[in-house]
Amino acid sequence: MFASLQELVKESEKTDKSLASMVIETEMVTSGKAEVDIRLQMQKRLEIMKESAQKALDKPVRSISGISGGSAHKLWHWLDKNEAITGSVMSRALARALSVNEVNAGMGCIVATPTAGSAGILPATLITLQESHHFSDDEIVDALFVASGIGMVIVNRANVSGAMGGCQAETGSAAAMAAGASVALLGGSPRQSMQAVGITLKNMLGLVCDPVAGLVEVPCVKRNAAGVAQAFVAIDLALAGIESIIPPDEVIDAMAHIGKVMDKNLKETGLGGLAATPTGKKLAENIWNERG
Amino acid sequence: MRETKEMSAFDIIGPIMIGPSSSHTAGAVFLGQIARAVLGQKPIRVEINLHGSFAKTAKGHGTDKALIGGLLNLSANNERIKKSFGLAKEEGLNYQFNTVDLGDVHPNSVQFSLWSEDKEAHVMGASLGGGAIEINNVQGRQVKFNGDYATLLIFGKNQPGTTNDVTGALVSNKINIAYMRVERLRHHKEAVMVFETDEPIPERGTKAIRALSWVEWVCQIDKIKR
Ligand code: SF4
Repeated sequence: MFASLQELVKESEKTDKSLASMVIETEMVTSGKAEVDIRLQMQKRLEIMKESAQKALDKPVRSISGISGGSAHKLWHWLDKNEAITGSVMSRALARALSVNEVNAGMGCIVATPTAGSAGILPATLITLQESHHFSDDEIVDALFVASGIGMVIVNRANVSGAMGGCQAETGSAAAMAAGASVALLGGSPRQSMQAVGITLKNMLGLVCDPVAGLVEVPCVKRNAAGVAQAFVAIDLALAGIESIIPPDEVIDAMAHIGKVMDKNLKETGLGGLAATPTGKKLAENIWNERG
Repeated sequence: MRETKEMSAFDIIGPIMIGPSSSHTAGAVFLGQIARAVLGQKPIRVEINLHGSFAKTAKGHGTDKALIGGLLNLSANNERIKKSFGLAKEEGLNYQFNTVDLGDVHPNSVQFSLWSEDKEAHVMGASLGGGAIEINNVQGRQVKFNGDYATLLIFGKNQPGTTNDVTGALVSNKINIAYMRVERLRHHKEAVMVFETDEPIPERGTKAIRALSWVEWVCQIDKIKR
């Protein structure tokens, strides 16, 4: 069932089941657990997501290396007195995405969605929609199951690892999951959900993984904010009925291919891109020498 | 039909973990936990040799704190890992980190030597990514296991019937063996066995194995709690 997004849509149309219930039912079969327990397991993750999305807003969180931190707090308090160009919903999601990733870089507790480096995008998007549209926790839990169904298809056709596929595979997948899950949450059809996945991923193809000093901080923290923005773009487009002429499954395949041919210096090795800039190198040397 | 992997929804939405990276944090915690399990008790001194990427980025990733956290038996999602150096002091664990070149091994490799009052342990392993690990040397013997099962390590004299003795003890304790590997080392004089089992082996099971005449060293390692 998780071989393609198209299959998910077809199955959902045929059985008249929501994407969330299809994912939950599959999980019941593979884990042998009851639905209540599976939902509870997800609820627990949601709680940790909420904590990590809040923690760095309340007070600045610095990373272990010291090269990132404090941005979530800065944006959150700027929003108190300023009107964000991105609007009140998206801007709050941006701040929450920064928060989760700053908590991650500061050795705090997060939920990998699908990875630690991209952990801010999905929680920030869903928690903010919960706030603006007053969804219940149960509805958000459903959306998280939709996100995991999408993630499973991506893992089956490509991968979600920066080391294997570049940042398009990490933050790209996270944003695609967030967009697809949000469309379902906001009442879009399964087909629209998958279109949101395709549109998001299309817009993030080719993004390289070039972390300074090999640490999940620069550019990762800000890329989580960018991932949220990409998800928001796709949510509105998909809900308006706009479709990707390249089918979403083929977009995932394109992502896999691009990841394969991407230079290995641009796949989490910390040897290319931003990591190889004069400043990137200097920061890396400082971290390695001063503390090594 | 395209091949699909067996996956749980919680592989995608999860794990719950301490940042910043599952290979440098969670994986390191698991390696520390296993080193402690090999010692079998609380260590008072540990020397940690870091190789490759582990050596280079240990501080920035908090790998050093995670390794100590594991040695203190903290779980991989315990936020106290960040403060593990302080906890080590409180618990009387002296630690030292060195940078080493272990040669042609995985870039995220680490070698532990640890001591309690009357025991010592030497363990080498690597963090493979996504929180997966591999142990490849224990007490100077090459072994191979990943902590996804309860693991029983047995070193002893090589003689006929050794494998039967162990499987017998496990079966009589109703333990399901998932994998087993038996190797003969030191010119066939020594048997090195790795048993991976579904359930942890109860105390009486390990006792029975310890009592076997040819057995020289036994260690039981719990399944990693992910
Ligand atoms: S740059 Fe690399 S490490 Fe950072 S978020 Fe992207 S994929 Fe992850």
